[in-house]
Amino acid sequence: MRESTKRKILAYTSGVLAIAFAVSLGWGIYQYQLVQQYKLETENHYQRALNDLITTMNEVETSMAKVKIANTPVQQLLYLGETWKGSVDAVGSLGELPATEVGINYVDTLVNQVGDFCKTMSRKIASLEQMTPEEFKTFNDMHERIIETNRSLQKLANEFYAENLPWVDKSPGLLQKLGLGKNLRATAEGGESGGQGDQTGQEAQQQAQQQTPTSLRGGLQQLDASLQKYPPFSYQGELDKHIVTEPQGLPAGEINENKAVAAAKEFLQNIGYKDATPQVTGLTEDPLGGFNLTYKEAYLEVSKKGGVVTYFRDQREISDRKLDLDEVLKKATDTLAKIGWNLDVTSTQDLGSYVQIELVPTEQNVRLYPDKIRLTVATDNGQIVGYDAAPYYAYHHKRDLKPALSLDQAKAKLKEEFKILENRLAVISKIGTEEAFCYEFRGTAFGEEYLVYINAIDGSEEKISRVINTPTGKLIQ
Amino acid sequence: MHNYGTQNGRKVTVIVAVGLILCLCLSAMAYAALGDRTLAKGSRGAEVKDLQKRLTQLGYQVGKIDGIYGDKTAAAVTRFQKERGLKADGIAGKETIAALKKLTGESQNASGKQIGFKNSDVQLLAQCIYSEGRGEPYIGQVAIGACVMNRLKHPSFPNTIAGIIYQPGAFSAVADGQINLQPDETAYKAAREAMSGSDPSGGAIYYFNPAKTSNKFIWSRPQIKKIGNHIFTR
Repeated sequence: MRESTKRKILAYTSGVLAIAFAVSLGWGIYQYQLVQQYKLETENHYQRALNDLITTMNEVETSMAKVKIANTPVQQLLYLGETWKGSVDAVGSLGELPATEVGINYVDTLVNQVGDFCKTMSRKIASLEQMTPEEFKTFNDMHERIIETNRSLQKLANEFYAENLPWVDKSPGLLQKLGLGKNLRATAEGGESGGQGDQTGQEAQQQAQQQTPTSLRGGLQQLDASLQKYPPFSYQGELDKHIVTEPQGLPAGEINENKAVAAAKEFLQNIGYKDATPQVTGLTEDPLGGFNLTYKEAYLEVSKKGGVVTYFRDQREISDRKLDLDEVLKKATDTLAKIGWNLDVTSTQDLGSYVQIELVPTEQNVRLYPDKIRLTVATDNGQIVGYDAAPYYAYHHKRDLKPALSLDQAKAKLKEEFKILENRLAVISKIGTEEAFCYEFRGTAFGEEYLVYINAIDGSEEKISRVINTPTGKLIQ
Repeated sequence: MHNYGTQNGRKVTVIVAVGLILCLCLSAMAYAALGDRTLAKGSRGAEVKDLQKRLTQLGYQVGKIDGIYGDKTAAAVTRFQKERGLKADGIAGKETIAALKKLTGESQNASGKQIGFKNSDVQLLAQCIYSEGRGEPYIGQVAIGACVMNRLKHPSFPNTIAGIIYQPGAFSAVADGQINLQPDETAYKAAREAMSGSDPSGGAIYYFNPAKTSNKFIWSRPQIKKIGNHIFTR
């Protein structure tokens, strides 16, 4: 090959390479800028959440201080309301800040408890009662803890701004991973503790190193851990209200695996599965728990205590719809009667291939709403494919059902505009396992349908629900 | 001059008339409402788009919402018809469209006033269930939804469904963007069942896949039960 041709090729190749390099460099810069822009937007969002959190926590703390001295219901209600509102906002902001999958549980719990307690106290004060000394002490304890949390939060924020800390600790970069380059954290900590160490001694320096967060997320987690050491408040309120730790409705006696299989078999038989052979496939560790069983695509749970089926769900394919809502309801209640359940339908949701139904038992003409049963019924053949009796077994117990108020006395408590369509006695659930025995009034006013509950013992207006018509059925809000 | 003016005037009138007719035709096409005509495979236009949107809203996947009545849309219509006890022919006739419109309509109060859809959280919960638990058994998917619902009542978590799902770090599917996948019908059903209060998880607030998790905290939680690949914990 001639020298000039070689040179030409060389010039050509290097030209192409130079252009490729310039293009990729440009692309790289563009991408980098884009990433920076997104990063900035995310950080602005965090920034706002952090500032909102600090502002609202301040409001919570201040209004709590005012509640303590207020001596008229008007002022007490005002500041309790401010505290309640502030705590809801604070929990919202807290949920927007960077955290690990564990979250910032203890701060959340504290703030939610404060809000919850204020809500309960507002209700009390609105019915012209006073906080008991015990409740006042709880409130005071909560205030103390909020002050501490608030101080730590503000300290963290100051540190964060002063030292320009990152939102989250940096994960090791490529160079560090390869063992090259400096260890970021070591240099940061070394540089920081140098000055402090001389004055405060080694022990304090160690402590300071442990306590000095290297990122906002780290700081929040330290704060969360520091709240862990406090004892719980005497007031539990709605804490953990999603679960009943001591079921009231399970029959006596414990059962073994064989009995569980027999119970499941009988249940399946009753709802139309002939010669079913369910098998135990696992155990459940919860207050209603016991044995998990499967049969084909169906899953069942039988409680260890009492040996009753608490949950059943068949996950079979549901074929073409053959039945309308009324036919489905008829078949479902017939099947339930066969098992020995005599229940009133309280709500239905038509979801196409199946219908969800809620039913409650009635005792001495009193509807027992807490003891409900949920059914899922297939619209292809009317078979029950889902059965959830967990609420029934969690709450059912012997109740004293003698009203102190007469129906007319209860009616007198209603607003004048309210037109009653239907009324009955009912037990409704309140917080946790607390219940209220009420007169239930279904009626209309102002173009809306309502359910109003008047306590049958003390005549207080216990609860108001609004009823709306959704495309799938009536919904109680 | 005068003559010329009249001629010009006539021309303008003709142009305006033609324009008006064109406008009317176009707007009639653009504003044709769903239900005016029977839609079937091959149909195109705004009505088809509306149909596709409504099907998606109920959880029937139609693929891209493009205003073209293709195989996927026909299949979704057929599934809808089967579940509603209608003639399952994949053709969106009067009855099918009426049923679809009713189910995707707004909620009403006692006097018939429209008061909004009242189901916005179903979509987000279905997205969460689909992205976190597709491939799991149906009960396992309901249990994931139930975990979110349990957190709603638990003091250690935010107080809205969106707050819980988007809490940074809470769900891996949010962190990696899978949350934005369009959920399937199963996930929608599971979301509705969980929202109605059904809880196969037994009161769980966490769950994890033991094969994929080494996180000490999550392993230390009291375990309730295993459904599919997930262990549900307190």
